[in-house]
Amino acid sequence: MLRFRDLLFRHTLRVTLLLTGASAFLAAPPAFSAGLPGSGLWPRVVGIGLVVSALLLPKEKNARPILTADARRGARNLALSCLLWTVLVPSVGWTAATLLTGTLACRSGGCSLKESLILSLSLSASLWFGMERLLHWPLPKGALFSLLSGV
Amino acid sequence: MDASFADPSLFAGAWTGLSAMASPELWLLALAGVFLGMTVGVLPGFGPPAAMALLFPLVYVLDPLPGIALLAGIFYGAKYGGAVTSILIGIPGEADAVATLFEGHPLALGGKARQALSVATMASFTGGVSASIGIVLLAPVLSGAALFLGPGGRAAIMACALLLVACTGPGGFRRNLAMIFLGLALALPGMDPVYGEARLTFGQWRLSGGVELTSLLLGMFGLGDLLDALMSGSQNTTSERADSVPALNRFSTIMAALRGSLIGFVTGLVPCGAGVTASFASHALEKRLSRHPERFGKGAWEGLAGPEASNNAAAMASFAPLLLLGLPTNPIMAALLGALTVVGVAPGPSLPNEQPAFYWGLIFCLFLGNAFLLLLGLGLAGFWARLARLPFRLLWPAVLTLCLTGSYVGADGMSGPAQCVLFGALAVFLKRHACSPAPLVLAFVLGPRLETHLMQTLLSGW
Repeated sequence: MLRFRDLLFRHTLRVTLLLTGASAFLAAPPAFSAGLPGSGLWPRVVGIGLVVSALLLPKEKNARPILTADARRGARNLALSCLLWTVLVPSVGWTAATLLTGTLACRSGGCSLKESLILSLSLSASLWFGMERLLHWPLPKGALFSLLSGV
Repeated sequence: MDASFADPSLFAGAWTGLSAMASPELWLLALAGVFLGMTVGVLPGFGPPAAMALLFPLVYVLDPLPGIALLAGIFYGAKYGGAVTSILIGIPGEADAVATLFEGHPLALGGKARQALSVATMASFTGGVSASIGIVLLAPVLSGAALFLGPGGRAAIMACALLLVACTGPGGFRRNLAMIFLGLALALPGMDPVYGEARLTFGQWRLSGGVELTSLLLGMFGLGDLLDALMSGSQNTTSERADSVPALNRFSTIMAALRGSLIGFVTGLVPCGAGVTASFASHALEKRLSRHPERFGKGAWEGLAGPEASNNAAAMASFAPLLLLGLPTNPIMAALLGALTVVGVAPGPSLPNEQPAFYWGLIFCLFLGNAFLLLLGLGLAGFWARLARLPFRLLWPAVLTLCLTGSYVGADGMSGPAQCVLFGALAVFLKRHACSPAPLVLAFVLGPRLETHLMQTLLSGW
């Protein structure tokens, strides 16, 4: 007897592809306009192709992979780091966000505090130098900088 | 056929390309590309697609030729990186390097790590240079033939290429077909390439720009690989020692490298997982030709040189269909096609005529890059060996920062990192269901071109 979670795992891909294909088909503009092939023709072809290929997918034989505690922690730390960086950049700017996220990511990955600080500092400094100074690509300074500097 | 691509313009074009090579910035960036590619390729858990994805955003801030030369350098540098991890750790960065592992790793275990690295480097150089010469010789023929093709012919070639990828890709035909359609579907939102109308934006202005290629690449290959490594616990390190000694000094090894180059060049022109096919074919051929086939699998030099040369020759040869037909034969070439679009270069049969400085400059950069590969590979063998042993805990925060910053630069806003994270999660989801993201990326890049050619054909015959 299959557990519900295993059953869900086996059908998620097929369902996702079916839904994507159906959305591409249904949300596309008309396939023909003024008697000529229109901008909706290709999305409809792709939508039908996706639905058919989803139906043709071979049956999943693998069971849902069991994640170890370490694997779960690693994935969680990565997701949290991404979230933190995305939230921090608009407010405190790229430099502070990268430094802070880098340090926390290193710490959660098992680095010592010294290693974490050295790594995140050197990474942020080299990236900042490369982007801002060498390539003249402005990195976001954040709302806080604009507020403090009166820009 | 365009007669101006005949011999006189070939020499004129080659001279223009040589003149473009006079820039020291170009030399520096080609060197930097090879070095960065080798570095990322050697790092545990990351292959050439990840290397290309991580450094792809640089193309936004560089001139066309230096930008593409940098990315090309990253490509073959990372390919060499795959050989280093195969030999030293016994873990190939990607499928192309599996045949290198068969002989390279036993040699490393036998205390001949540095010698094996040297042979791999020189074989890669042989393969790369032979294939670059092949491109120069083949270009007029390929370009002339492509000029006869109309939009219908180009659409047919692209559709055949996608079908070949579906047939030969690692996930099996039905899964690959689904990935191809998913890639085509991801390319749909945004502006229609023929009429310029917004479609599938669901009323969201953020979707009018469509999916960002940089975010897709960084998510699928950078963040996706990272997340997969963290979740599967496949972060590897090695304790092998790289011992010293000589290099490619046997006649049989040189011949194996030359045979491998030929196999690699021919297969590299076809979109069918060229590197893997070429390296396995070369390994099988060397075993068949050898007087001592029993040595294969235990550290045969010919079995190392042949696949390594064919692997690199296939990588170089794949530049020919990309530049002259606009046809990428693998996901890295798909990324390069995207980069060409970003820098305003239109690949196609008329490229050598319309932008000779770029075309010939890039061809000369391929030669230059291979020379740098040889120098860095032989000169820094010990450094690569140490780098391959870097602990994963020091790597992943750096890769994460590069992915997020790169996707920000690519999209010029926070929508880039958001898309990157989404595609990272999608990559892991697909891998858990035994689907390879490579056909998806290839279809994503080819989708708008295929649609344009198909619509042009339909409209002209309506």
